[in-house]
Amino acid sequence: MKNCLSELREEKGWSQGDLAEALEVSRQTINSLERGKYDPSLPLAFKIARLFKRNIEAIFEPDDTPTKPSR
Amino acid sequence: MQESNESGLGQTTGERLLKNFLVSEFCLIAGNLLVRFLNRQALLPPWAIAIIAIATALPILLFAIAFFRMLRADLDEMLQRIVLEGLSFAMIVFIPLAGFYVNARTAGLVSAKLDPPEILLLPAILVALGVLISWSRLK
Repeated sequence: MKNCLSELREEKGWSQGDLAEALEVSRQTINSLERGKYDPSLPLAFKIARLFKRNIEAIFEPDDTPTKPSR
Repeated sequence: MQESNESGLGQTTGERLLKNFLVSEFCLIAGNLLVRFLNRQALLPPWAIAIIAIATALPILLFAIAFFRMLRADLDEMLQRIVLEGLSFAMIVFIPLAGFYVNARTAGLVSAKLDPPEILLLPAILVALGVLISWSRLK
């Protein structure tokens, strides 16, 4: 699954550690999420969406759909 | 905040857990060797040997409790997945191996006798290998 998590994080000026702290996960998890290696659970996806005040679909997209930034 | 937030499985919680595991595994194996030696030499009464055998197995029990608590409380979902995949890998490899060994030995195809230290170490090595494989896939 593709996502624009790193762009959203950088927009906020947060480090991976800051985002990890806000989401109560490890920094490794943030790293894996940003690289698209790990797909989050639904609760974590909702938490991410709520943190960035966006819909889940605006952050995560299946691999076959092009990522479109929604601001 | 969870402890694993700062550095994850690789450093804080994971490192402590690995250290505790190695220490408790060492106690277990050293205890096993000591008990064998004492049994052979008959230096201590049987009750004293039994106490040594139980005492040296206690650390691994404490480790198991700590591991269970860490799995539920200290690890986030991805790290839990890595650990659980590591455990699954160990079981998937160990159970058929054990099955083949037991049947082959019963049939007389294998004469090598595995002692407890080797048997105890194999699942641990397999878990570590499984965690490494899962970790490298998700990293």
